Amino acid sequence: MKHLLSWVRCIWNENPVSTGLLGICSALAVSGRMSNALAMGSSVLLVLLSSAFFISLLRRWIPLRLRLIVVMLIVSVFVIISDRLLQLWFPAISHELGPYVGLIITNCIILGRAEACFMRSALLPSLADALFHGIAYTSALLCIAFFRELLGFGSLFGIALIPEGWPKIGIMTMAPGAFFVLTVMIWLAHRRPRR
Amino acid sequence: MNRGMGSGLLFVTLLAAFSAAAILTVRELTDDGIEQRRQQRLHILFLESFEGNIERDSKVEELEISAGVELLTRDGQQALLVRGAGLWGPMEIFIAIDPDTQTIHRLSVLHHRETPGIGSRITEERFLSRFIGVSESSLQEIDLLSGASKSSAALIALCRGALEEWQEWKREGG
Repeated sequence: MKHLLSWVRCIWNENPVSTGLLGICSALAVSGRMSNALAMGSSVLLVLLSSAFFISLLRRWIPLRLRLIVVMLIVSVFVIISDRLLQLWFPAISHELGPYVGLIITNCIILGRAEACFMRSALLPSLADALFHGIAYTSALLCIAFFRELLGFGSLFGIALIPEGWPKIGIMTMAPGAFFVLTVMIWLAHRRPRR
Repeated sequence: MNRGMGSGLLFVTLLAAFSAAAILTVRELTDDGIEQRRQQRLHILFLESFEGNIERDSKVEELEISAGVELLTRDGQQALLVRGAGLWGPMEIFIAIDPDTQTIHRLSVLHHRETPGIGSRITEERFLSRFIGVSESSLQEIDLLSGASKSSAALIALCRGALEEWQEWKREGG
């Protein structure tokens, strides 16, 4: 029960993107549309879950000095797999995401969780940790994408919501727009309640 | 200490071998499907550009004639698939070539990163129709889109570069 509470807390209070400032690069780059954000988030979730499984399973045999190499090996296998699956099932989204799926390998959330949790804990806690961190990352991406797509393109998941005459804010579709939304998120996340 | 290091290396080597095997298996399983998707996409591009003038079920032949420029042939009709720089980011365009006059039959922008509402107007039919029937030498006479002059110049430059490569490739007897 205590664990569950701390895991749920990680989605807002300890969100890796807004509080930990991890995975910022991809959060800025692929949050232009909801569909891209969802595809990216679920790829990261898949990579987190599967590497949590293998790292936690092998943790007694992983040589301490070579652990970075081992973690990179395991993570990169699943990144390649998720990239291939995206190309196979969602070719349009894969085309749109470009190199950012391959760059999941360098996502700090995965390496951070591997060091802090998967190398040390048993299978189930590791998987739960991976699940909640993946969901937290995905929800942060979706939150940024919600404002960017709504204000920049006037749509959500490609469905037009705002009527034609309404002015669209072009800057929201570019990198600076992502900075603005992310900054507001970081400010909200770091605001301490008044005593 | 040495023994620990040795078994560590053995572990990493084994893991690397397993990873390589896993990646190869996944590639083997997905290659056909991904190739099919590519072909589908190319077919749709041909169908959109040459209205109805095309045999169904013919394969699209791909040939890379230089970096970023691919010559696609389907049923005797040719097109260029070009990747290169736009103004703000990478751009991908599809140039369908008129078989009789060897000029541009139709130009489409598949992917771009221009500013929405400003540079993105280069993807509108109003501008793209200016390319129809234009040859490599007369590309410079196309009027730029006012307010999006740099984006349209980038598109024209990309077009010209690709057509030049293609002419060069034909001269060399390709």
